[in-house]
Amino acid sequence: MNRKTILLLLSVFLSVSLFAANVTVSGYLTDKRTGETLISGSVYDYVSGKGAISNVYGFYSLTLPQGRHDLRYTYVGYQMENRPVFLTKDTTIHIYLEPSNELQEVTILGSSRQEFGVLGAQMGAVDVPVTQIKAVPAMFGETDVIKALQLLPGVQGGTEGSAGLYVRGGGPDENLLLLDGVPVYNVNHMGGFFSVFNADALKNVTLYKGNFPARFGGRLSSVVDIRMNDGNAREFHGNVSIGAISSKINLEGPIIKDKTTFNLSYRRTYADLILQPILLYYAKKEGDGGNYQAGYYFYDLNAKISHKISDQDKLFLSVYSGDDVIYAKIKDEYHWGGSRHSDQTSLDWNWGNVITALRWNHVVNSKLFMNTTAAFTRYRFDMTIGEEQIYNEAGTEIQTDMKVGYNSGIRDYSWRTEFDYTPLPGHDVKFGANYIYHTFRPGVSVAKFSTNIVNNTNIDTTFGDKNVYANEFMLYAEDNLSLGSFLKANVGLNYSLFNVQGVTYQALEPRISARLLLTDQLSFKAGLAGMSQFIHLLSNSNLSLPTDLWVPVTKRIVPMNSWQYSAGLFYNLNNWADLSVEGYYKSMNNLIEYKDGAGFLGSNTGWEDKVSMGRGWAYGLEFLAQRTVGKTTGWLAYTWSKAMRQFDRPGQVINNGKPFHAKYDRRHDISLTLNHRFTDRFELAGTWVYCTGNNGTLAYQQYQMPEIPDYFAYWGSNTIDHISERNNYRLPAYHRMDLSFSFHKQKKHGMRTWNISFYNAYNRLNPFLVYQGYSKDQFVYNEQTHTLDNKKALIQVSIFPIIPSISYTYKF
Amino acid sequence: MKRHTILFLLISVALVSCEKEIEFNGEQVEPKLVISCFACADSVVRADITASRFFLDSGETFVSVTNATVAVYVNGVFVENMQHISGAKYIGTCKPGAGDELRLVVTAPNFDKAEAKDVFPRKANFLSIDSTITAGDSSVISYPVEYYTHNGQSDIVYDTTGWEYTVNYEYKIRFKDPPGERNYYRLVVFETMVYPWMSEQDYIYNRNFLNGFDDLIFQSGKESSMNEMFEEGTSNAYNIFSDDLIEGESYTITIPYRYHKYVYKDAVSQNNESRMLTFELQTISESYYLYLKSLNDQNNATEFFSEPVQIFTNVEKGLGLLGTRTKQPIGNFILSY
Repeated sequence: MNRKTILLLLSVFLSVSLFAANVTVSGYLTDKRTGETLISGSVYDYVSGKGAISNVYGFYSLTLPQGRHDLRYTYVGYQMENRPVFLTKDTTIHIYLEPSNELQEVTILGSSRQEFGVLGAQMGAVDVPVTQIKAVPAMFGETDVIKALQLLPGVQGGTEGSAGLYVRGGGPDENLLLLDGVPVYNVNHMGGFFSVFNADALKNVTLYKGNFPARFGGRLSSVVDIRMNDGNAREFHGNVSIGAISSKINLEGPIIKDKTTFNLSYRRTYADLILQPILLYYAKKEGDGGNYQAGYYFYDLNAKISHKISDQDKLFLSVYSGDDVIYAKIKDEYHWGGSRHSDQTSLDWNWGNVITALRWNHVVNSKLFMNTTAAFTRYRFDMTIGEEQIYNEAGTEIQTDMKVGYNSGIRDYSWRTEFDYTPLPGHDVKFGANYIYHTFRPGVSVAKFSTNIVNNTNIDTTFGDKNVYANEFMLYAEDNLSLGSFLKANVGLNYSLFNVQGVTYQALEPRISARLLLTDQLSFKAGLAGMSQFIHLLSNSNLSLPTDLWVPVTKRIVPMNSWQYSAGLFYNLNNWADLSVEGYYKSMNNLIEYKDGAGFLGSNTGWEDKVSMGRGWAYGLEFLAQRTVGKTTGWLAYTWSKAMRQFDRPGQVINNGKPFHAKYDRRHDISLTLNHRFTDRFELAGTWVYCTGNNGTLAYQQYQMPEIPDYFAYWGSNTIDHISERNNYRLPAYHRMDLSFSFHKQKKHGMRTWNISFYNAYNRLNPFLVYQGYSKDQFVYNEQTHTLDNKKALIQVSIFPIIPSISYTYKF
Repeated sequence: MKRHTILFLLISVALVSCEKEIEFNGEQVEPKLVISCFACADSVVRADITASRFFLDSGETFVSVTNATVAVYVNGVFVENMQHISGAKYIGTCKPGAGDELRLVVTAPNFDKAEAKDVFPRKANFLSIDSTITAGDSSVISYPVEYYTHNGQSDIVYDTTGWEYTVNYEYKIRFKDPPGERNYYRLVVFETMVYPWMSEQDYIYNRNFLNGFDDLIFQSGKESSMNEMFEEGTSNAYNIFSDDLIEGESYTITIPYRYHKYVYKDAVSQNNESRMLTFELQTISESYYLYLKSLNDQNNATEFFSEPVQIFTNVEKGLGLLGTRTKQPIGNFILSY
């Protein structure tokens, strides 16, 4: 045995000894009163300077050298807990944190500095507690997760009132919205004015807009990780809320105390119930004895059951179901000539999501945590228009029944297994795999006709595109590593594969972010992330319509990909406020944009011909100041950004191949969100937003349509509208203030709250769209007709004036 | 379905929307010279010169520029100034041919100088045309029909019996696309009503330009924009196409024609009407193709949320088009039944 061999063996032995000298302390971090697990809670050892964060299931694991340690468990809004321990072996410590009465008075953004703030390696991410979301004033008093996210820097809403997300120059289909880890495809109700997420059912919302951890993939611009409440494990609680357009109920409690819990939330609008008597009244007033039914409503049902099998195993079953429904039925019945005549016309639109996830948490050992999820998610749009007629012909009662239907949607079955592994102090490794089987239903029409007329042919035909099936697979690994207190980094790799119609695409993407702790209160972070996206949403309405279609990449339309580089400074101002400034540059490739004149209302026929592929780039600077403690909380966000597109590939030219502004390229975006609790009984919240107007396309010039040789124009305009470039017109700036007043009162069995809110409190008429029209009160003399004609003018359409609303909530 | 979607949107928006006039805060654009020149190889060059107007300016008519100087350059050499005829119309005398570069430079008081250039494409490599009858049918009709007598008389005649004839023709036009270059084509098909008393000069007033053919080649010249499941498909109004699908290959375009005719016992003159089909395969420049395609797309973009269409222009510091084409006549076919 030579000297080198001896040295090698010695080093191996020393390594093993070092490993052997480490022990792991692990467990769940939970709310003492409710038993809810706490996400992104912090455990920190003052002796070694090491720390860990509880994962999305509340599990933490911290590997430390054997010996004495001072552990401190913290979670914002809760009393901290100190645990001096002497560790000689792997130890399980479940921590039950007591909500702090003092801190309960405040709502807090960015709950964990360990992960997202000064100390963490992650950047471009914000953790938004649901309490904060609920405090933000909302349209019709409807708390809305997406609209709260729109108030963050780097995130913009789309059209006025819309719940769209445009993150760092990306498009609305580039956001991965996960509900308990399962993708949600249609996140909007009512044309995009409300999101499908009922805040009563939610525990935590985290937005990633850059430097995506390797465990996420499949979208270019953002990941919104939304977690549902498990349900109170100790006591039965609930709340009932009656609002201007909807009512909600939330119930939670133990089925078996400390073992099995449930959480159930339901929300439904009732505009249809109010509309129905009005409709009947007018029908009678008009002397129309017909039977009318018409209306619109949406509902959301969230349900979750969690069951603790043992300290090592937990099962969760979560379900979401939500639909938008438009219906109309007109029945006209009369007798004529001694026979019955009846004509019934009906229309039914029905669209929404169903999401089901079965999850198994398993603590393999104190260092290794496993989560496996089997899930089903489906979005579908069904439309039926029908007419039933009964009439008399030659003494015979004839019945005809005609129906035309249209269905589209997407359905996923998925399997995900993920591991959290803490092998050594300073390492928090996550790795796992994800498989999704997609079924795209791109638009199928059904036509049926039946009658009792003799010798008449009945029709039952289905036509449209066939289902498209695709397999998506992802592997990832990331390590959140600490090299002393100065340097912390998250290094990961994401591999994804997408197989559709005989074509396979693969992508290997590094994800790196690093933090340098310059002082105890100041850190510098930088990172890069590559992302790919294999599906597209076909929609050019800028609203969220049920006819929007998700389609996969094809041979011709290859996956989109992006690279994002970012850097920033993070500063904690004496625990009084957190400040950050982040800059980013994002390049995007294979983006799709609709060709001139292309539209997608309900049909994806030949959609590849309707889009062009090109590139985009976006850059910006984001500033965020947030106050997280005290009676007054909130944040001030400012974003300066630019987003451009260029489509110059042969045959796919848009805007003559020249660069043009993205539709939602807004230079300035400011939002101020404040919440102040004056007393235990009165609370005031307000938001003010200002942003540069959206871009639209206007034809600034007009000229005469020439005669085209060898052609006879039988109809058409005599005028050509000349558009110098796409998105050439900047709409007027958008600004709005929302206010919310909450009056709380402790009652015998719970707390009642009256909330009065004003959306668009100073009644600013913001632009929804503009068009060239005619002035109502300005005229010009027409020399040809010798008349006074209305002067041409630019007309702005606004849709939301001041909207007051009131709601009543009783929480028990 | 589209109707219902829009109805739903309009109801939603109408419930709460309001309108107001706003100041235009974009770039104020001065009127520009508009060149409309569709030059044909081996023919004199003609052009219309008009002025554009700012979209918020009053008036519905356009100004013809009558005092412009329209300089013609062929292959970079000044040839002549075009002569003003009337209104917006100007004409030259030179006849540039295939392969020549035509450049127009237009100046007029109070306007920026506008100029454009284009190269005449080579003549299409036409190979053959075949005509076949694919089906024919006739039947007796016995319902009242009203029609006008000939010679501009407005007498209405009611006929109660007659014959209905249908003959389906199919024309196969074969040509070869030159390899290694991007080429653009336009198939011109005229249907002319020919009456015994009509002179050949009158044909033009009885012509229909036929389009909307199903041949796959015409897909490249249009964008589908409407809901084809529930509505009619979009049309390729100008029968234009690129060689994207046939690069360097021979291709046969199939043109069906359905000759449908009623013969009435009392309408002798109308019964003598026959049809003539005229085919011409034009090669057109890329600019001309993009211009016609954008006109076509704008006409087809009827959806409320369709992306607005930019009309192509190749005029610098002005608007409009200088487009070139080279004709390849194919033949005339008199139809009978």
